[in-house]
Amino acid sequence: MLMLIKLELFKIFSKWRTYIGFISIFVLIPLIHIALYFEGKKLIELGTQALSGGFNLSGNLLNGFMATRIILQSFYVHIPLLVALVAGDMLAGEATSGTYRFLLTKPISRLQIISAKYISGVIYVASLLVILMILSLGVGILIFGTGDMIIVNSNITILKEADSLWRFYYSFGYAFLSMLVVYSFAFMFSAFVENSIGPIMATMSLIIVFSILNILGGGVFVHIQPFLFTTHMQNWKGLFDNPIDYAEINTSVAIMIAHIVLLTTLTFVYFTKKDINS
Amino acid sequence: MKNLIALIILILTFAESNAQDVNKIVANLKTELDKVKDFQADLKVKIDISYLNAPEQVGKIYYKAPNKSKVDIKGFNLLPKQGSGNIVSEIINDPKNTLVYSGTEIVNGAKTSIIKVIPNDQTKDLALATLWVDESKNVVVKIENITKKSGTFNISINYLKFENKYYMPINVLVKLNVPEFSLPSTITGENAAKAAQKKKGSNTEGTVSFTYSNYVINKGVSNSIFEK
Repeated sequence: MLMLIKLELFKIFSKWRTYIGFISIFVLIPLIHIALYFEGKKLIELGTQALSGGFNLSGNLLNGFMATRIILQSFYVHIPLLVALVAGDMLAGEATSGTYRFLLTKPISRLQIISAKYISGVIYVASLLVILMILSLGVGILIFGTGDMIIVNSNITILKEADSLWRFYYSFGYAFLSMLVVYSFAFMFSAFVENSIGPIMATMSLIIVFSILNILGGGVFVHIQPFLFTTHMQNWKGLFDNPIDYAEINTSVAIMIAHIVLLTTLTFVYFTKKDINS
Repeated sequence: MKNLIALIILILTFAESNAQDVNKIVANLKTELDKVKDFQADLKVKIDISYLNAPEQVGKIYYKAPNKSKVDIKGFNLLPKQGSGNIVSEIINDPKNTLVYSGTEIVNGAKTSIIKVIPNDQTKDLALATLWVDESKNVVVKIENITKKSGTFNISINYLKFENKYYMPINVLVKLNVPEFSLPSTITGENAAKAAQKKKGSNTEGTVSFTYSNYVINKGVSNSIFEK
């Protein structure tokens, strides 16, 4: 099994498209850091302008924690594409290149093959997020230092420095789970078709449509939102609330795990019974 | 004609008496303030604004006569523009302010004299201030500051006598007006339903509570503290 996973990892990392994700992260994060270096103070002023009339604000709010949260927020839209790029190709890519039959003639069970593929994809997703965390949090702290963190959304929340770092560890863990939902969708679509473009497009379309439904307020949308997996993906922001609504976070985590289990089971069942014609 | 002269004499007498009242009250206030040459104390600041969730700020406050003061809080500071410094001293020691006696009022069970402060310096943000002075202790227990840019600040001050000599504030409550805060969920990227749920309302009055403890009075405060 370990050998199979190594082989699958070799396949993943021998394709150029795999590196698109890493290159994007390596290029975009420094760009965001540079933008924040020059424009970050204006961003804070915009967020706190309601308070500036009656209050004097001082201290280092433009810090590595704030930068990392902005990066995480921005990348929640883009990382799914990078995940889908690889996951959508994992099974459909074998069909496109005509290696399915060759692969399945080996004395290995289909369950082992798909398990190795799934696990190696999970390793790719994890490596993407680890690099993202090191670059955003590590480099962010190196450039901007640490300090109390400001979060501006429907309210303004200020978190003490000592109360900030652990939230990022949980957030990246949460992001990993969210990306596994995306990965599981793309992996499932990849099992259904024989061309990798379809699963990538289908996964991204699903995320874009659901994300738009997610931010539309009022009317019927409010009733739909709890049923969208993107709603629960976005609940990582709740980890920066004070106090944290753990019941809500736990519900979202449970729903995402249920998605992963259901989608993966469907994929495994489908793949083990699939007629391979290519 | 006789009546007019009588009225003028009455007004002048009243004005003279008013000036005497104010001067006496302010002189007593200054005497009380002047007893404290310097102090340092532990400070806790708690902000209560409907849309702001900030932890209690903990630090130290330093003061050295005549006008040096510093609040030293580790990390991010969010302090109201009025109420955190030695506001009474600033108001009564400004020669450009006109002080007018304006009667008496009971505040927290104590009889207080009301002094209206009209700033003549047009460059200052202060438009009108009112001080409620407890003459039994020679301290200001309530202040209302109307500013040109920052709205109205209502400040209530509770004192405790230290070392049987000094009345020092132990709790200062600042009520201030804050503008509404609203960013659309399309900008914040927040779930619309959740954003609406989290928004606690549009209350535009906020309070800031300062709690002072562990006073060290007239034991010397280094100038270097104010230079940092």
